Amino acid sequence: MSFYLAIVSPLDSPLFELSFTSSKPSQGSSSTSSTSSFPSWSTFTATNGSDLGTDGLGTVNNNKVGGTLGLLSGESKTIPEKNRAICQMIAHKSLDSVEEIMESTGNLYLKNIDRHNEWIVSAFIATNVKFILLHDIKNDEGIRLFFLDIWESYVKVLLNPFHTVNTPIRSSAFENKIRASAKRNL
Amino acid sequence: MSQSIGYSTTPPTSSSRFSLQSITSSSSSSNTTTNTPNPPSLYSTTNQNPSSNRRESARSNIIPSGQGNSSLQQQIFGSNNNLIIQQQQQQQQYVNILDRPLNKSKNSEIALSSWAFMFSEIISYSQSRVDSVTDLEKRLSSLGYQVGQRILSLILLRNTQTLNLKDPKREYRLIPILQFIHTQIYKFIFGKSADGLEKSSESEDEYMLISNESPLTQFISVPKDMSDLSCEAFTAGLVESVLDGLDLPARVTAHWVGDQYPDTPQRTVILIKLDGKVMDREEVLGK
Repeated sequence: MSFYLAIVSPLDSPLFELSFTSSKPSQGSSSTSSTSSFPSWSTFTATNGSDLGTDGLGTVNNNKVGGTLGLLSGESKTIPEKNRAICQMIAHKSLDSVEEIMESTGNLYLKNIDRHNEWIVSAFIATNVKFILLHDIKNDEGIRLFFLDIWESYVKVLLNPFHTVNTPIRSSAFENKIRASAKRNL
Repeated sequence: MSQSIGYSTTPPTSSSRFSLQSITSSSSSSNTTTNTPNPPSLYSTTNQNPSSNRRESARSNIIPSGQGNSSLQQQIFGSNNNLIIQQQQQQQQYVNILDRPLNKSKNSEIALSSWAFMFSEIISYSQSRVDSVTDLEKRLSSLGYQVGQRILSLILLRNTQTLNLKDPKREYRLIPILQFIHTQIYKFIFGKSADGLEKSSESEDEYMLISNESPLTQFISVPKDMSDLSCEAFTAGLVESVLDGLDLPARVTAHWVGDQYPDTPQRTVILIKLDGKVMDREEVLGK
């Protein structure tokens, strides 16, 4: 199970990014079977021509923190870095559907609003900012609890008078909170 | 402090600045050096020696070990390096804000007098840095905007946690949002809902929130030569940010209309002028 979480500001810039895996085994293969008909990673080819899928899903998500927030160094990118770029692209692409849907509903939790190959996109509207989560299995209930946990942590960060609203969150405590919540709920 | 609450009719002098600095110096109980001959502005005083000395000493009073700039932030956010020993000693005092409960609302109300004092300082501080009444209102409004962003998130989160954890919701239609501001937001900030919510008879996209006596500004008397100033601009900014947060961009301004209402001389109208996009969307959703 791999996940990619992004907190997106009203101006569509990322405030926080994190990719992580969950230790839980997939619950019931029935939920994943629908995704198997989709082309998987291996159909992606990176810009420099190398095939991303060669390493398989196992090494793709190695708990790499997206803490650099797009400030990639010039050195040769590792496989997770490239996949992170794809995750960013999918999340960014899904923003259109999120905005379309949120206009006509009062729900904060928008589940399974978009999909791209094996990725399913769920979103949560936390007033100004949006939480976008890419996941590869369906787990509506766990994701809802996960979102509510992040929301609470986010509001706590927001209430900090030293934090400027809509600026990247670089607190390691915040990241640990999210990882702990992911362990519990996902 | 002999400074009166309200406005001085004279143009802003440096007196308020000095009084502000004297507060800092007395609290830190350190050297009460005289101020530099040319009145410094507060923006640049961080680079000047006397005041930075004062700040350092004030900080070391708060934090026993006084580790300089970084330690304050690390204690707030928690740290994973060599502060562990220090944290063990101080664990009782400093808890990471992310671990602190959010809903401890007991004893969290602020005395009106202390708010009035702080707001008067905010106004005189802002007043000494602007040229016109419009700029002053803009400044107050942007302060209110920052408050509103936080309040909206907090209220929505609390509502979700207490009422419907299963299915978190927000308002998304125009009228329910305005009613949400009129009752819930106002009640949260001022302890009572607004006195009226009216639709403008002249144009479709204008709504008015009316308060007869706002606790924020009830002690403020505006001098005659600045009669078009309304310090409710703070509230206007607050309302604007709440509307923004609920995806209803609008231009919000505050107007004092007490002269037309002899019964309620402090009557203020918060005028909400909605963005054209909002009206279009309402039309589509209204079907």
